[in-house]
Amino acid sequence: MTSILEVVDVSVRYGVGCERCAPADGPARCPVCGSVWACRGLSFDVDSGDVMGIVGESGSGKSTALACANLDLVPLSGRVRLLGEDVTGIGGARRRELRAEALGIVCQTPAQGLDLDLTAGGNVVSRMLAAGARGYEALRRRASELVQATELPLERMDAVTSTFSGGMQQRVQVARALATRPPILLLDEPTSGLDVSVQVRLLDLLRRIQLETQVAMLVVSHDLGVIRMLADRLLVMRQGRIVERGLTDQLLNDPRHPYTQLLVSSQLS
Amino acid sequence: MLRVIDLRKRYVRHLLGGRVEEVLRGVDLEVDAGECLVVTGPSGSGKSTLLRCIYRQALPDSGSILLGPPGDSIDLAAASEREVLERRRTTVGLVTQFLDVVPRVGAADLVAQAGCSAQEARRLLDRVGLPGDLHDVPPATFSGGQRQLLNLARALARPRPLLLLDEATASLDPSRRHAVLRMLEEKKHAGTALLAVFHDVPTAAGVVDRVVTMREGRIAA
Repeated sequence: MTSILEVVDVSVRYGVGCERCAPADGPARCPVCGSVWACRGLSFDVDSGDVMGIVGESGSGKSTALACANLDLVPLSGRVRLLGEDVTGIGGARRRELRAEALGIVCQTPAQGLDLDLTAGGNVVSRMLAAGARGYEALRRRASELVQATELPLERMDAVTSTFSGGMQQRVQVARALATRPPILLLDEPTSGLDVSVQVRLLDLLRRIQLETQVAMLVVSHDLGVIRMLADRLLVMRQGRIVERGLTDQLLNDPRHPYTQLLVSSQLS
Repeated sequence: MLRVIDLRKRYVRHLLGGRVEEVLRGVDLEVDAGECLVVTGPSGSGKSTLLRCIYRQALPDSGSILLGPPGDSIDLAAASEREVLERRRTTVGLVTQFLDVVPRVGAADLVAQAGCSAQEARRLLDRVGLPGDLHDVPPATFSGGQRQLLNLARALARPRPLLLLDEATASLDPSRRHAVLRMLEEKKHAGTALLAVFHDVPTAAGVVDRVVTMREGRIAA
């Protein structure tokens, strides 16, 4: 089976770098030149139907890993493959095409992922247009399908998204991300900033969609509760490196790395 | 169906100054298709860790866990995460008293998600003895026994050749316990291998074939 997403030995550095940078087990920030190694030798892959989680504290490199997958960022070294195609450093029309058709992303804040001046339907349709879809009736039908699938009130489809609550805006992001039926969905802290009951509804929605469509997911979160609900497999990142990986329930029941043990013991419930 | 060879597992508690707990110190056992092996022993003897290692909720340090007929088995101690997930879907089920499902989905839907039709899910819940008015209720508010019944129905939702039972009847009243043991007996006669941890071995039931006792991480007898 071809992996949907393959990340191979990827390193990302913010800063100019120097000879003393990133010794194998040193801190992520170089004490000499101040560069930050956000990812160091990161490798993982996601297959069809897989839900992979990445957990770690702020600054551990998990969002950088996601940015590489979303083709927002070109790694310093290593490869990124999407549907078997080497897309490392790809640009131009092919990058736009892949982002429209092969990737869907739900960003941490709605402002990053949506045009808040557009309506809910407009946000969904604009993505379909970017992927080359045409025809008012068909676009409208698909948009209302997605609005319903994400449990948004259909009568708000033509309302401007800046008037929506945070939870509703995140649903619009999910609807938008799914619009072109991408094989993989990237989720960057999808529930942070939402109150607990709204968080839970969004997670239930994502789980239901995953079960029904078998879309692959890469979920980044600092919250083990979110990961536990969504992900089958888990990477634990710290200072740009994967310190532990395994089945989610295995890492929660039998964390072996000191940092994973700290994470698991720090859960609120 | 299952062969465990020299299985060893220790927990290193880094938050407790690196305290080491040797939980499994070389466990060997074998369960055939259509057989029920019961593991008993005092608390802390390693019974649950043994089941967790087999289900790969814990990663053994060494030893093998061969699942499947000889010559066509997979070593769960070394299998990839995907292989383990696939075996959990098709081959091995775990029944505990804990809830490891999304607590906001109705019980019958949870059973169906584990691999059967909606109709079959309700029939299974009836058979294990979960009252009908709870079939559409999310299990967050269930009692320990009701959770156990749900877990059991999920494990039985599709034929799995190996069932791991961790105190699977501990919180049940005597009549439900009896009904569950009868169902397990039926499964056994249909060829399912059962590996069950019990504090109190259900002597009256015809389900048990062999009993071994664990002490300090080893099979004592």
